[in-house]
Amino acid sequence: MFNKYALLVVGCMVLSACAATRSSSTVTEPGVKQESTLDLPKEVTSDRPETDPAKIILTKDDITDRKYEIIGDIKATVSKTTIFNSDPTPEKVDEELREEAAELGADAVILIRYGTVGVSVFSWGSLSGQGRAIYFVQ
Amino acid sequence: MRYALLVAGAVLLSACARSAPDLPPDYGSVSSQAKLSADQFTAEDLRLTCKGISAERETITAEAGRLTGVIKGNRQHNQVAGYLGGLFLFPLIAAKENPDEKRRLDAIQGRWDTLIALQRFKTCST
Repeated sequence: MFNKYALLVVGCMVLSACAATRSSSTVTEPGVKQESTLDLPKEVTSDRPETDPAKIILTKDDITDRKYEIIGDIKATVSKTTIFNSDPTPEKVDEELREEAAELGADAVILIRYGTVGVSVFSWGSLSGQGRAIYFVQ
Repeated sequence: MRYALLVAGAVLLSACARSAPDLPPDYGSVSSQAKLSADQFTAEDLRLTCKGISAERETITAEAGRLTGVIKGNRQHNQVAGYLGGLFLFPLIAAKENPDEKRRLDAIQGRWDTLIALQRFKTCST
């Protein structure tokens, strides 16, 4: 009995050492609210060339001193894989937003906001964030 | 057993993650369909100067930081209750929820969006 319990604990520790978090993200049309789970917002794709993630501006603000066009709204969720891992942070959500924005060819993600960490359907700790992917125009 | 499931379910629900608030309409892009007008703001808001808007943004940012800290503190407490609850069910009852703080954080985000729109409407420099 004790051996089984010990194996379970060791197993959890090994698993928790593999990957502390997992992430997912979706990109939808700007400003479209999801009214119900049956009414999924339309997913957006971009034909713009990928940008360098390191050069993408992330801000909680709007950008008012440069003209821009919107690609889409990005929603990212970072979840810890086991109860033993540390909680996901806004910085982890930023990483996910940055990566998704880079794939879309964005120059910046504006109006970023976060939820708060808590239990979700598939994780003991999830944190979501949203932002609007944009590119600058002349 | 039913009681155990009920308590565990209640704790899981009460410690739920709060989703990131919805993004506001697009008022800023070159092809924006929505245009800002004075009737979207209260008379009190319209009286705010750019300096006043900045000051309020700083105030609510500080408040949001404080509330997030409170929720984070209780989250650690809840995780301990969760660990112990796996062994002895009763600690799960000790888990704390922060509905008031979460509601206030949503309200702060709404106010933040209003202030950003007001800044754009008043063409304040950011």
